[in-house]
This record gives sequence, C-alpha cells and structure tokens, in this order.
Amino acid sequence: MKQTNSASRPRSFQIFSVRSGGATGVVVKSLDPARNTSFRMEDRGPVISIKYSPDMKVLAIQRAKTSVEFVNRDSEAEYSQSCRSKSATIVDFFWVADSEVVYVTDRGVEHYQVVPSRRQLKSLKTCSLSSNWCVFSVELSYLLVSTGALGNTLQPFAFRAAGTMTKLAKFDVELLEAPRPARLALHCHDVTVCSLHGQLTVLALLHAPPGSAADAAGQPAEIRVHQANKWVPSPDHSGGEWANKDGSISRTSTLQLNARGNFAISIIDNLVIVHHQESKTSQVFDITLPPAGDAAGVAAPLQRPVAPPAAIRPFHLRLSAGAAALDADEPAQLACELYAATWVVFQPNIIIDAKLGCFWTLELCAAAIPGALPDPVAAARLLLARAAGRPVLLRLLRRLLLRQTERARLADVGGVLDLLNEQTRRQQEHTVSSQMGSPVSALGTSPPVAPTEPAPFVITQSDLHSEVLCDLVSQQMGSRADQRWVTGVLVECVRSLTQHGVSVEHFLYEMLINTLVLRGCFYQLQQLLQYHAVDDSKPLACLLLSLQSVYPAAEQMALDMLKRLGNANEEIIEVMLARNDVTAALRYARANEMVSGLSARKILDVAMNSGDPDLFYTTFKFFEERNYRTKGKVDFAPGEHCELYVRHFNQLFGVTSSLRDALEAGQRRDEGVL
Amino acid sequence: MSSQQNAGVELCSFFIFNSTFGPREGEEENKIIYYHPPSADINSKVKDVGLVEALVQFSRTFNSESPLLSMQTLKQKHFFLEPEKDFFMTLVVRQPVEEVIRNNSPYKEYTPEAVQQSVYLSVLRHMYQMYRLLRGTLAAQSREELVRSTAEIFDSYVPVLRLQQRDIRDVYGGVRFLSLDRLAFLKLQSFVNQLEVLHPFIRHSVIYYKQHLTWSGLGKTNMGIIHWYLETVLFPECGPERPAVWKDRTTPTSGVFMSTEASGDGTDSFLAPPIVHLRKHNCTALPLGGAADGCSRDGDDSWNGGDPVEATDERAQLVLYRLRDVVVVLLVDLEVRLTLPLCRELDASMAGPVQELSTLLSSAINDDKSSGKDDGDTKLIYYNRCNRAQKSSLHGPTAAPVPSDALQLMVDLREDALRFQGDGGAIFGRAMNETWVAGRVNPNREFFSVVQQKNMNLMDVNNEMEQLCKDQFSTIFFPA
Repeated sequence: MKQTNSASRPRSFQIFSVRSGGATGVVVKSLDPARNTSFRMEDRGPVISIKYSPDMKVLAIQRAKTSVEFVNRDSEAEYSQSCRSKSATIVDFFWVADSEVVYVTDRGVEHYQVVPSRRQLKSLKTCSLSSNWCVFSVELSYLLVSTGALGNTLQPFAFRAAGTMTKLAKFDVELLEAPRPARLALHCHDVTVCSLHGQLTVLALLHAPPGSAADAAGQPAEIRVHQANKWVPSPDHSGGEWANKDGSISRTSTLQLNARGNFAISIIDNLVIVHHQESKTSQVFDITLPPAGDAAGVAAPLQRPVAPPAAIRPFHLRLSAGAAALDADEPAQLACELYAATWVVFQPNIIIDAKLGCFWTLELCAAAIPGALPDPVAAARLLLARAAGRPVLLRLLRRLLLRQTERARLADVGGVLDLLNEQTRRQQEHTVSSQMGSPVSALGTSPPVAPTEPAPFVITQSDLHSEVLCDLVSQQMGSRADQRWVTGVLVECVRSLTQHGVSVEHFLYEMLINTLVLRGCFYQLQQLLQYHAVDDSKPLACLLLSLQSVYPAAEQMALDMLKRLGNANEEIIEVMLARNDVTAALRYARANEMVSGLSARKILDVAMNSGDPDLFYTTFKFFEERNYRTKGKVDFAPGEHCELYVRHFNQLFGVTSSLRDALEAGQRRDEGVL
Repeated sequence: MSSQQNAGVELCSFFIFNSTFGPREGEEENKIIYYHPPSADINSKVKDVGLVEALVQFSRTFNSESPLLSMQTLKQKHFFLEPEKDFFMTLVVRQPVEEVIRNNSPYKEYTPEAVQQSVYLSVLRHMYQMYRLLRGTLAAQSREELVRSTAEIFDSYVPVLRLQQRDIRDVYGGVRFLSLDRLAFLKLQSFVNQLEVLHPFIRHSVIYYKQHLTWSGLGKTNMGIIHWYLETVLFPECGPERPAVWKDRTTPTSGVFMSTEASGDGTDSFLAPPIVHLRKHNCTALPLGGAADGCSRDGDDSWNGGDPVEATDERAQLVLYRLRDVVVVLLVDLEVRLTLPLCRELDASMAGPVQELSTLLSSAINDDKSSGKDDGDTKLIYYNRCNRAQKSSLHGPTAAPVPSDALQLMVDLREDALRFQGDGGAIFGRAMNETWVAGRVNPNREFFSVVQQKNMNLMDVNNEMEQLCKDQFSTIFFPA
C-alpha cells in the first residue's frame, strides 16, 4: 500500500492505494467524494510517488530516480520527463498548478509546464542549488528547499503568477546545537509550512541532537516560528496587530513543548496543535497570545501552550453490520488507539492510521474550550478567533456576567469585554479599509501593510443585551454584592467600548442609570454625568427629567445635558414651563432668538394656570409685543387659538391695552408722516 | 489694613451645654458638657451658659419658629446652634480692633463686619458635624460620656480652628473635584468596582488625588462631612512625616495605611481605625422609595439638626490608604477586624491599580492646570449645591491674596442673592480699592468673582462677568 500526499488542502488531499504496482488496481480516496476514483495501470516496477494534477486531468507517476511519467486521464496517453541535470536524482516533485509541475532534485529546482495535448513538458525555469529535502504548500504555492550540510538553510520559492517561479530570500533555522561532526540536523518532517492568520508561517521542530550537551541536560524540544510579519500584542493584551518587518522570514516566536520524543503538528483554525506520541497528549498554541514573561524587546518571545496538554477525544469506529455479523463476539464499535505508532500526520489536519486503513481530519471542538481553560479571558480569546466560537462564547459570557461560575471576577469581565470590543473595532476598521481599497502608499516605497483578516464574528451590543444583560438587570439584586456586581458589569461594558472607540448604545446608559437609581446611588450617578462618562442624548435627558421626583438634582443634570446637545432649546423651554417658570422660559427664548416661533397658546396656558395675574399680564404683553414685531399687529393670528387667553386678559385687566394704543398711535403717526 | 482686620478675629470661648442636665438651682455646673478654654474659672463658665440660656428663652417669646442664631456685643459676637434638642453649642468670637484717630486722639473701634454670621455659623455646624461623625449623636450618650468624648474631639480640634481664615468656602463646604476625561474616570470606576466586589465588607470607597476628590461612593451629605473632616484633620499634615500606621515592608512599592487620630494607631497585629458615624439615609442602597425620602433632603443648605429622620447613624470604620498622591478612603463594616493579613490583602489588591491610577490622574491634573487659565486680576469661586462641587481660585498658592473686605462683601452679596426669587439673577458690589465683586446665582448654583482692575464701571464688570460665564460654563445650563 502506498499513500501520497498530493496536496495540502484537505479537499484536494488524496490517498493512492497501489496494489501490485497498479496492475490489480489503484484506489484513490479523498475527503471530497467527487475526487475518489480507481483505475488499473501496467505494473512497471515499484511506484515511488504518484500524484494527480489539481484538476485531475493528468496523473504523474514517479518510478525512477531521474524521471517522472505523465498519463493523460482522458486518452491514457503517456509521456515522460527526466530531470535536466543528468547526474541529479529527484528528491520530490509537486504540481504547482493544473499544468505546472516542479521537480526538486539534489542539484536544483526545475519548473515545467505540462502540455497534455502535445504529450510533452516545457521547461520554464531552473535554478541550481544542492538540496537535501523539500516541503511544498499547495495552499500558499510555496516551496521550501533545504540546503547546506546541516540542512537548516531554507530556500523558499513562490509560484504566484501562472508560469512563474520566484526565488525568495533564503533564511536559516537556528539550531538548538549544531551537531559535531556536521550532519543533517533539520529534517523534512520537522518543518511545516502553513498559514496562520493569513500569514505565511514556517514551523521548525527542533530537538537537541543526540549526544550533545543539550541532550544530556534533557533540554526539551521546541518549535521555532518563522514569519515575514510579526504579531505584536497590544499592551493591554486585548488584541494586537501584525507589524511589518523587512519582508524576509525570520524567527518571531518559540513554542515551548516541555517534552522530548516524537512530535507531529496539525494546524487547525490558526492554532498550532503539537501531538506528542510518548505522552499521548497534544498541546495547543496560539501565536497571537501574549507571550510568557516580559516579552518587551525580545525578538522571539516564548509561547506557552494555551492549556495544559490533553489527549484527543477518543474516536470509536463504527463497524459495518456485515463485519459485525461475521463474529458475534466482535463489538459493533472499535475504539481507535490514539497516538498510535501507525499514525501518519499530514498537513493541515489529517491523521491517517495505516494499520486501520482510516483517515480522519482533526477538528477543534469549540464547545470544549471553556472547560479546558479555566481562565475566561483566555477562553474568550480562543473562541473569538473561531468561527464556531460564537455560541460558545455567548454561553461563556452568560455564565461569567451572571456570576454562574465559582470565581467570577470583575477584572475578567473587563478582560473578556475588551477582547470582544477589540474584535469589533478591528472588524470596523477592516470594513472601512476594504471599502476604501488599499492605500496608495502600500504600492510605493513603504513596505506592504500586513493584511487584516476579517473577524470570524463579532458580538454586538445588542447581542450582549439580548443574551446576557437583559437577564442581568432583571434578576433580583438582593445583597450589596449583587448590586455592585451588576453596576460593575455595566460600567465595564461602557468602559471597554469607550476604550476601544466603539460608540455606546443608549440602552447601556439607560441600564446603568436605572441600576444606580434602584440602588439609591444618586450622587454616584451625578458623578457619572459630571465626568461625561455617559454620552449626551435627548432620550437620556428625558430619563433624567423623569428622575427629578426622586432626586431633584436630576433636573439640573438634564438641563446641562440639553444645553450641551445644542439643539434642544425647545426641550429646555418645556422643562422651564413644566416647573411653571414662565419668565425664565421667555428669557431663554429671547436669548436664543426663538421668540417668533414660540407657541403663545402653550405659554399663556401655563401663565394663566399659575393663578398669578402679574405673570399672566407680563406674558400676554410679551406676546403682544412679539406679534407686533413679527406681523405688525398686536393681535394674535387666528391660527394660534389664543381667543381664550385674550378673553381672560380682558376679564382681568379690561379691553384697553396701553401697548396696543401706544403702538397703534405710533403707527398712525408714521403713516401720517409718510 | 484690611488683612489686619481679619487677623484680629479670635476665639474667646466655645462651649456646649444642655440645660436639662442641671435643672435645679445649685446644679448649674452639670449643664456644662464642654468649655474652652478649660482654664476659665467655673463661675464665668456658669455665667456664660446662663446668659445663653436666658437669651434663648427670651428670644423664644418673640419667635418660636426660627432659632436664635447670633448676638453681637461691643467686643464680641456669639453664635448659637442647637443641633439636637436641648443641646446648645456656642462659639464666642472677639471682633478685630481698628485703631482710628477721633478728635485727635487714638481710639479703638471694633469691626463687627469682619465677623460674618453665615461664615461662623457654618464653622459651628461643621464642628458639630465632625463631632457627630466621630462620636455619634449627643443625645445617645450620657453626660459623663459626653464630657469625655467632647474633650477628646474638641481639645485637639479647637486650637487649630484658624478662625481668621474662614470665608465663603466654609459657607459652601463644597468639595473640589478633579476634572478627569471620560476614559480616565471609567478606568477609575473599574478599579473601584473591582475592589468593592472583591471585598464586600467595604461599604463605600472614596478616592482622592492630591486633595481633589475624584470619586465618592458616599452620599452627598456624608461626603461633605467627611471631606471637611479630612481637609481639616488629614490633608494639612498629609506629608511624609505623618507616621504610617502599618506598612508592609516586604513589598516596597505598596502603600501605607494612615490614621487620622493619634489614638487610633494600630498595634502590631491589627489596625484600629477610627469609627465614623454616617448619616443613615445615604449609607446603604435603599429601595427607591426609601432613597427618595432621604435624598430629597440631601444637599439642603439650611441644614437642621435634630431631625428625627436623621436621628440614627450607621457606624463604619474609616480606613485611609495612601500610595503616591492617591488617598483611598474605605468605609469598612464594623464587624471586620483589620488584621495584618487582611491589610496585606487589601494592599495587594490596591497597590498595582492605584499606581496606574496615580499616573493616569497626574496627567489629568496637568491638563486641568493648563486649561484653567488663572487670570491674575480675576478670582473666581463656583459652587453647585446639587453635587457640592466647588471650584475656587480665591486662594491660589502663588497669586496675590484677595482683599478680605472683598471676601466679606462676597458673603454679604451672597446673603442678598439668596433672597432672589425664581431662577436667581446677578448681583454686583464694589469693595474698596477698585475691587468689584460680582455674582450670578440660581437656586442651585452660585458663581462669584472678584475683579480687580482700575477704572471699571458696572457695565465693564457685567461684560467681564458675561465673558467669564461663557468661558467657564459652556457645558452646563448656567446662568440660564
């Protein structure tokens, strides 16, 4: 049986089972049923490697050290291509595109175009270098070739545009200790090329060489992470960003494994999962976590696993009914041995058990994260980066914010909310930048801006409201501690949103104010407003006004807020009228040039109901004067419906109006002069 | 000349008595609870008390509603306060003397205007409030207890009354808030909430930065009282020489626990902070109805003692923790014994965040200074009754002092302005030496300024005032 990894993307991953050199059949299995196939071929010796082109139109079979044969699938036409340098042997070959193949020989790299119609290959480019081994990533179209006696100098090639092969700057993987005498110290299976958060990443697993001083000292193995851009966590650890470096790949962090032995690496959802065969456990690393210890100024800070090592969840293989029927004693389910010696791990997350003949994909169970990580902030950080994390995170938030866990701390609430809002802010920035296109400077001299990925999801304020906060504020707040907790959580919401520049929605302020009122913490509410911790708005001003019966100073706060809003003159006048302060209302209207638009009826009504004749007189005269100024007549316009007040005035003071007389006399005089 | 006027203000005597303690003839001495100076002989003490008793009785025949407030004689002014039923506190102040030439001969003239009623009545009220803060109501104690406890409080406090320096600020009794930006305040809040959730035995917490109040978890009334107490007792001496009650020496960065009372120093094993009596309606988180009841009275300027609503106080331990320029005031449940491990725990949860806060607040106070332009010619004082906020540039450390006649005029103008109807108004007065005092008041806010410029008329002062209001009050609804 022979398997080969034709591609690193799970969907294009194929396993070839070649029986009797192909004469009795080749079965191709894949995760995508459409890519499963089987065929027969002539047995012409043992197959070293066999790979379909990505479109499955051409099959490449390597049987010799120096050449690869190609078979067109439709016509079964065969042709072959030897490597160009005669004395070279092929280390490996890869399909880099539907009709492009690259040979890595011990003497160099050869890039060919496959022309199936003419049954031949056309050489595109060659590059000579002595190579030990190579690793290729289909997803990234990225080839790494190991050179040098130690094997730790890695020469990358990129295949971005069709038909081109770009040789990139080579880099060295720093070894724990160089073996003496010099021999190959870094092997093919120790190097993983993957994409983490959209960043090309080269992981190098390093062991202390046997017999070395480090080996004697029992130095554990470690994984060195090499990237072109470096993740820099923000100081408050609520997020971070990819910092541009000069573009060349170098070590950015180190994953501490704390063990020795056989390791294998899977990459799932931007997490690095390191399996350790001896202990039958796996460790999970997130390179965007704040590093252990003081990382300031350290070039490659140390990363600890996000959780203690744990085993993969056991898998039970359900046996087919036929197999079970053969032997009644055979159980219907077979518990698969985890971390078996027969396991082969492929990128990114494929595990093959050669003995069982099974192959699996390793998945991340988001729901298990809160259980594995007692620290809610760490759990939230992991969940936020997973597309499947949203419902789990909401449950976590609920438990934390409603204090359903043993050790719910307000600091953790703040920490989790900070992460949430950091993600919201990043998503907003991403939306803006993707709408605006990439800045011009990125094309020019400055190094390209590290691409921001869209966030897997965001939890909005209304999500928080419906999932958590509603229940939080409606629960019984019996004890002092409960009340403080609720206030504390709401303040944390506002603080975190403010800190991340996300505008706070009205309902949060309203909840906060109501909570403080229920606690009787009026002076604290006042301070909240005094420091403008609450955004001004008309609805909030109205809420404050409604509080003035329980806390008279609330009126002052409301008026201050209305004044700051700048567009609430009408409301201010309403407030003054509500406290029957007609003169203040009129004075305010005059100072703000609102007299002509005032509703005379409303104000006269308040003045009349005050029962103070002097006040009514003043108010009435004020409007007569206004009428004269705006319309040239002291009388009210019929549309203003002021007849009632005119009658009331006449009842109190008589029909004659000195103002009217004076004004009309003046008018007559003016007309006479004219 | 004018500064000499105030300098002459001197304390003659201060005494507390209760007539019901010695109703019968020959028992007059029993009425006296406290008398300062203690050196006075018993006859003059009894005589003084008798005079006040007589005055109170006499004035009641004319007006039984409003209490007797003060009496002026040629040389002295008496101020009276009956904070609780039958308990009278009397402050006797000697008026300053001015040497004038009359009929070609030097003549001593007393200046009663230098001793203003509202200022010294406020002092008297503050004295009672401080006593009640530290020892509870007078009525709750027996005569013997009262004699002892009043001596404990007032013997150390009366000599440092600084009667000459009393002015409109004592009338207001406001607090200085630190102006913080929104995020800094929210971070401060975050710290306070974390601390209080972590240590539920903390009833209230108050945070000061360089004598500026930055957060108060207390109600308005209690905060006012405690602020006055701290300002009088703690802050003038809040230097490094003040002995720390307890300090964890293993971590050099942590803060110190302080005591306001010499007798309150802790032993090696636990801290014995002073116990304070808080006015109840602000103490706990009451349901809406209950809170409303108390809060409607809260901030009432014409505070009236002996009200049955306030008759019961709640006691708490007053723990002061200082780190850098931050003072954290914790009001802690009585049942909690502040042992060394507990103090260490408190310190551990406060030291880190408080240091961060200190840095945050120091930048805030620097911004504050740069924005608040201190005009050498114009001095301001602003008071908001609703939140007890007070801002003042009357007593800057560097600027020239405001003439005391202007300060006195300010108090007088304020008295007049209090009689304004409705939504208040503006008031102006001219002191000597080209000094104007102008004020804008509404029922809750007061703003006075002293303008010292040559050749200003009323219009100029009014314009100046308008401009000041525009500059200072752009974000609040004042003066309407």
